Amino acid sequence: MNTAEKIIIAFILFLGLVTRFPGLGYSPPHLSNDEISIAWDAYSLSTTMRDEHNVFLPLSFRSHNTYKAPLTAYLGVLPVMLMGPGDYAARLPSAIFGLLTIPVMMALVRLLGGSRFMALTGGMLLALTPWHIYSSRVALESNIALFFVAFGLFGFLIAIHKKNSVIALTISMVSFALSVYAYHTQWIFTPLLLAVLWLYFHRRTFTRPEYYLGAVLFLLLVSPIFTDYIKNKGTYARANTEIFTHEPGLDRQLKNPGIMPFQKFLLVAMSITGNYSSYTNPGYLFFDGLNLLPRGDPYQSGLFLWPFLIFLSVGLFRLPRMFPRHSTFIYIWAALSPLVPSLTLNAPNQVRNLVSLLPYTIIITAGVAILWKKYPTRFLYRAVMATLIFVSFFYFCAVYYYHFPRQSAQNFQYGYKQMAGFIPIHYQDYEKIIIDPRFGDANVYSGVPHLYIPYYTRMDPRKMLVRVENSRGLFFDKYEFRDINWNSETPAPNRLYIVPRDNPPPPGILRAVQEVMLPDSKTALKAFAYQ
Amino acid sequence: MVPALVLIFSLAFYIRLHPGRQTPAVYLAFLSLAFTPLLHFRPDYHTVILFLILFSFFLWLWSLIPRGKWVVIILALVSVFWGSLLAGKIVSWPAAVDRTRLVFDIPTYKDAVRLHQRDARYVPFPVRRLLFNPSVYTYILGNNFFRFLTLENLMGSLLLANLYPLGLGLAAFFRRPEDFPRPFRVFLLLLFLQITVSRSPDKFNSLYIWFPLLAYLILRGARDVRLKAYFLLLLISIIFVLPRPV
Repeated sequence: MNTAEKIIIAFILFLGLVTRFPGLGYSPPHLSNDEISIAWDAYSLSTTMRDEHNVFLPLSFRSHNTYKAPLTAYLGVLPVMLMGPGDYAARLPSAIFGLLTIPVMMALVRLLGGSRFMALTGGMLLALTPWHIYSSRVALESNIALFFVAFGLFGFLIAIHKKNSVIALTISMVSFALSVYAYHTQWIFTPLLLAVLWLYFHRRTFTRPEYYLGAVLFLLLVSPIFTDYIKNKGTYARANTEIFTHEPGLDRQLKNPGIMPFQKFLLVAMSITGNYSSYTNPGYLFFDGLNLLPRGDPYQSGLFLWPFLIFLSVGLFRLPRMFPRHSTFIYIWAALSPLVPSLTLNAPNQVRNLVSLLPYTIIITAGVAILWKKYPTRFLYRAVMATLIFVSFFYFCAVYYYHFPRQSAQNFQYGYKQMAGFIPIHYQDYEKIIIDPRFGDANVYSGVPHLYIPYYTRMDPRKMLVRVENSRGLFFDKYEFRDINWNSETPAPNRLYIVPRDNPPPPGILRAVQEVMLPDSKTALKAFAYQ
Repeated sequence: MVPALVLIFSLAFYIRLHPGRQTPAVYLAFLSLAFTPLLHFRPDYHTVILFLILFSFFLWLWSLIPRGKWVVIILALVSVFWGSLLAGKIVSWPAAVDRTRLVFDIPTYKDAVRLHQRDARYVPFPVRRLLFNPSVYTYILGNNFFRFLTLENLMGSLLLANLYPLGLGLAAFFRRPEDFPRPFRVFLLLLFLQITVSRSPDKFNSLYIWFPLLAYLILRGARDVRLKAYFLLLLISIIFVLPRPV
């Protein structure tokens, strides 16, 4: 590696760093529903070794009527212990693994047969990809799983290249197993990818004992989580709740006794195809898939920058030229990735489909390399290419770092963190703090303030473990989390009411003591106390 | 009757341009074209059927006659242009433009441009007007077009099997456009425009009139397909075109 390459790698990593780490608490504007659940579990584990629901070191974290994979919560323990509960502590593991995916990506391109130029291009493209930037800045299980899949593949390819290195193979299998612990898509995707690798490199894998031992190691490592799943079968385990057959229309048709088995097969096949189609829709991938702004805003960003569409088109057709030995594997990888998300509800979902990011980026890299090579001396052509990428990246940055936090804050339950800043100062003034969990226009949504408020006020997690939950609401410490109906509510002194903007108390008895505004200057929450 | 006529004209157009011995995959493509749902579609405006027949006839005529080709191609262009606008319901018979069907009149787009101009305080106002302005419609048009190009839309109208030769045909066109009939570029541009300017393009209505063009691309690509893979895809496709349960 020469000095110029080292400088370029340093620049790529710097780019990855500045796009992923600064302002983690600002954009996205607030911890989301899923993030706060992971963050609270990490915080709770750090002090009690138990999750929100009082389960000792769980393998599946119950959250919002379903279950989450465990790794992200466990990885969050250390940052919470070091930094205390907060946005950075919650999002730091994802940002770190996001950054680490960039050098792994460069190594993967090289190991798959790409040139050094292509490896650097691959790293640069990943560093600039909106999908990866967004995923790295959220406490996202799938982003951590993505790293472990990439690292597992890296280890496997090293093992293949370095004469069946046992160490590399062991690292690979551990990494693949960790990906299964990181996110549910990987429950099916990782074994599928391993099967493809086994078949693709069959001359090695079927003849050398190391690979059989590797497979056994992988199975042993993942067996606890699958045992846990079998124990939870029939409950709200994620694999039971998120499967595509629960789509209301399809569910109704499949339960129709007049439908023959062949027709059922056809319905299922069509549903999967429809989902697969939505995951591979170029409009979704390159124009509006990231869904940062409210519906109907034309300045949406795609999962990839839109000029990448040109490179993907070229790369798809010319992949064998750039990766002569492993193009078939890359094609299979790219085709396989959206398959598992297609088996789930509510397609397309950019989080579940994150596994597609790497093969798509490799194909885009091939497209860039082809076009770069085709016009080696045309400065104008390269300048146009660079300008298109720069302009689209500028728009993405403007939208992501400025307009998105302002326009989409409400979707992130914005306001609870800010309200939590008010509570500790006045905590002693009130006997009860009653919080209405609804939010949004006409209170259409129900949030999870019972996690936000204790997390940001750094409440002792032991108090949460002895909470009372019934049809009226959720109760612990001084807190009551329940819908407030002002017709039946009897306000009393020493009570603090925190309500959404569309559920103010009738005038006269209570007075507003605190107001939290959304970044677009609308009221999010208001706190009321006795006159 | 109409599908048979259109198919015959489309195949005749291809054979006329590429006479001689055809590969087995091309014969298979003849068969698979006969199965395409697009060919058997009945458009909302029946007049469009006439335009489709005219378009496929003019293409064949264009390949047939040695002189006066430009007159025929103008006729083909007029029929396909008018027919595509009717099929896409952008105009209603005979020529009344329905602005509500166009992508340009959506109020949320205009509001968003104004909102971003007002909000983008990180740059001075003149720069904001440079950054956020109606040029965003080019992005919207691109999005509209590529949102249409989904596997589901193309599979539903052309069959899964035909996507393979269609992809190869398009790749051949972009690699060596000079190998294709000259008017092809104009036709493809028109197809692109018809899909992009429509607010919600429908897979059948939008592609119906373009069947002869798509058939030609499929047949061109079929020369380079792997026969076994194409045959397998055709078998799978036939399962998919079986009647859906209700």
